[in-house]
This record gives sequence, structure tokens and C-alpha cells, in this order.
Amino acid sequence: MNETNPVIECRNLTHYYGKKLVYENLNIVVPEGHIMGLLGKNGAGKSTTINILNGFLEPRAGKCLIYGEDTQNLSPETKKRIGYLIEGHIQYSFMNVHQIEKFYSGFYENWKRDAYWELINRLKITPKQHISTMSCGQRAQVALGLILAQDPDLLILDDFSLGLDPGYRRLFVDYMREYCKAENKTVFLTSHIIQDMERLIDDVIIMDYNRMLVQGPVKDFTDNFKGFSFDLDCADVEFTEPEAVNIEHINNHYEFYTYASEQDVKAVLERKGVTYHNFTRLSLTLEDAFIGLTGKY
Amino acid sequence: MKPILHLFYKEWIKTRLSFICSLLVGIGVVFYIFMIVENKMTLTGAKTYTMNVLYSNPPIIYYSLLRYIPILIAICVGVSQYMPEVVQKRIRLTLHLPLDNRRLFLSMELFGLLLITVANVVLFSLFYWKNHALFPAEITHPVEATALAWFLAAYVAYNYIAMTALEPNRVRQVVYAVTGVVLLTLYFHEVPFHGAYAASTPVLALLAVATCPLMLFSGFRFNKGER
Repeated sequence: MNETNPVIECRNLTHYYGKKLVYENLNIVVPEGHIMGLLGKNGAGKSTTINILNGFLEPRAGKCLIYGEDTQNLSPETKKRIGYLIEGHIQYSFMNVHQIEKFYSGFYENWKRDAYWELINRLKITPKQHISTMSCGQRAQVALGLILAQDPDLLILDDFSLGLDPGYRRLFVDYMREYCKAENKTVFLTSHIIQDMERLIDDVIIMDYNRMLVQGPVKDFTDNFKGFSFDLDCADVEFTEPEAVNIEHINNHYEFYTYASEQDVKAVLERKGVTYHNFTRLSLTLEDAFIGLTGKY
Repeated sequence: MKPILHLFYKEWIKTRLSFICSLLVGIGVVFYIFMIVENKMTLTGAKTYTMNVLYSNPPIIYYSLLRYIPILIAICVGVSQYMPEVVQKRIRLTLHLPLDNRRLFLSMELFGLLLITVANVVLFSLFYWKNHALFPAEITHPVEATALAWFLAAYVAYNYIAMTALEPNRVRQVVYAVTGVVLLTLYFHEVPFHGAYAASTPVLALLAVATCPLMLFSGFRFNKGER
């Protein structure tokens, strides 16, 4: 694994839809062999980023490079190294399981037919079954099988969990994790279901409207970002201190999200002269930390 | 070459049913036209019917059923080829294939144009064969010159369908569709006499050729993420 060799590099990426700013001067680096998850609320710019990476959208300013090539003009050789899973596991639904494998096999010299059929044979479907008649879970398996057969160096997975039931999601995540780590693949993915991401990703980018909030290893983020809950005597306390990244409260029960230590948070409360009870550090999953950082709304 | 053949394989899977069905309808129409002609020749006598075709005013356009057949085939091919690509923006899958995008678009278009050419050659040959078997050259040559414009219209229709389908902006789609329909009216004038507009055939042919690069424009707009 060569950590200094970036597979994806976005420099000062800026994009607008009309006059609406999506983000400005966004910088992303995904090193070789890493699994990077892009998290953000709806409209934060996840799909925009995926579309720019795939060359389906020209950014207003800045550029993205994949293997050193501008994504607006990827060469066929570089495209061969990229596996792409479209949101909702969209595939050519007019083809059947056999036809789609035959179709893709003509584009890749090192096509691993056996890898595809091994996965497909686990499904209770026949080679003649049309993709249009499949469930989302079955389509996900077909899409995954095609990616495994292509054996790309970089996988771009756009909202891979969309439409999958919990069992299929778990199967997909575990299969993908094992495959990517064993074969030193680089992955850039988005998902709405953050529990799945936690099992899969090494690094995380968290985007909010118009900006990036976090970029780095998941462990660093979940270790450093903390949540504390406490009850106050009154329900109208405003926290404007820099330690308060986000505050959620229902009546007088508060959740205080911060990068600061427990002592610092208590010092903030004492400086404000409010009396607190039941002060507890929250145990945060990646999903809790994401909501804690970006807010519920 | 192998990737292009595999791309053609995908295009064939999409279009084969509508292409074969519409071509069979076209073949049926050609046979039907000449079945009617033969029937009338039997009833009135071949010489009388031929004289009527030559000198009646208004003229007997015995082949008028053929008028919209080539364009029908082009619509069937164009719609069946491009609709599955634009639904759910599946064209993204195609654009992700390891081929140069210009080559990809041109290969898709080439495939569609090849199918239309096959259909045109089959139908025109059939029409030519039956026409020459029943009528003298005074009729066949001008009639074929008139019908040629209808076959050329198929290329224009196909190219406009491709351009309209790939265009990401709805307003532009409407503009393209309307422009296409207006352009196509040039190919479907009333026929006041056999051989009408034969002199304009080279212009109509050039116009059909000129519409070929149009889909590249929409394809590149889609690729740039234009809205």
C-alpha cells in the first residue's frame, strides 16, 4: 500500500447550480488502498462530487484528478481501472444475467468471468432472468458481480445501500470490505445509512451545506468528537462558545457536541453560572457523531 | 474493434424487437401496395391501369402507403435505442465504459444508422423489384425518385430523436423536437405528379447527412452536466 500516492485528488473544487453555491474550494485526497466514505445531508453535494469524479459534471472551478488524469478527460485506460456503482444499483435492465456479463466482458482484457458467476450462482436466479424482473438486492448482487469481474483498482460506489434490506446491506458491506482489503483496492463511496459505512470505511469526509466539516480517519474523528448530555435548571441557555460545535436540547435536557474535553465543557457550564445535573459522556457511533456534528435539521 | 462489437451487441438487444417488427410491417406494406396494384390491373387491365397511373389528374399515387414507413422504422429504432439509456440516466453506465466518449456516441449512432440503412435497402429493393415487374420505366424512375425522399427522411428523424433524447434540458428538448418536425415536412410534400421534387433529392440527402453530428452536441452537453 502506497499511502503517499493519491488515487483521487480534488483541488479547490467549486460548483454552483445556477447561482446556488454547492461548495467552494473543496479539497479531497484519497490515498491508494484506502476506503473513503463521503457523508452529508441531502443536498450537501455528495452526488455532485460523485458526478464530477465520473466526469458527468464539469465543476465551475478547480479540478479532480484520478490517477493523475483530469476526470473531465479520462482516458479509456484509466476508465478501465475504475468500477462505478450507480445509486440504486442501476443497470441495463433490458439485459438478462448472461447478456450483461457477455456485454461487459468485451471491454476489459482481464475480465474475471468466474468471479461474476460465482456470486450469481448464489442467487436463486437463472442466467436468462432479466434484470428488470429482479429485486433491488438481486440487482445489487449483479452489480457487485460485474465489479468483481472487472477487478478495478478504484471503486466509486454512489449510495450503495439504497433500496437494500438489512441482510443484503450487511452481505454487500462484508463482501466489499474483504475484497477491497485483500486486493488493496481504493474505494470512494457514499451512503445514507451510516451504520453500514462504519463497518466499511477507513476515512471519512463529512460535508455540510457549502463546506467540508471533517476529513480524516474515522477513528480520529470518533475518538476526538464527543457528546455530553446534562440537565439544566432552565431551558433557554444559549451556547456561543467555540467549544460548542452543536447543541441539541429538548426542554432542559441538553446534548453538547464538541471536540473539547469533559473538563473544558464543565468549565464552560461553570463560566455561564448554570447548574447542571446528570452530566454524562455519550457513547457515539459514527452515525451519532455525524448527527451531533451536522445537527438533526 | 472488440469493444465496438460488444457495444453493438447492447444496441442490438435494445432495438432488435422494434426493428424486426417495424421492418416486417414495412415489408408487409410493400407487398400490400403491389397486391392492390395487381388487383386493379386484373380488374381494369394492365394497360388501362398503367395509362391511368401515367396520365390521371390528380395522379394515382399507388405507393402513398409507403410514405411514412421508413420514418416509422427510424422512430422505432431511435426510441428503442435511446429511451432505455435516458431512463434513470443509464447513459452514465455507457459513458463509463473504457472508450473515448466521442467514439462511444458515434458508435451508437452508427449502429442506428446501419439498422435504418438495412431497412431502407430491404424495403427499397423490394419496392424496386415489384415496381419494375409491373410498370414501365416512364413510371418507375420518377416514382422511385419521389420515394427516395421518404427514405432519406428516416435518417433525419433518427438523428433528431438521438439529439433530443440525449439533451439534458427539457426546454431544449422541445426546441429540438419542433425543429426536427419542421425539417421533416420538407421530405413529405404532397405529390402533384410522379417524380415531384426529384430535383431536390441531392439537397435533401445533404441535409440528412448534415443532421448526423447533431447527437454529439447533446451527448457532450450531457457529459458536461449541463442542465
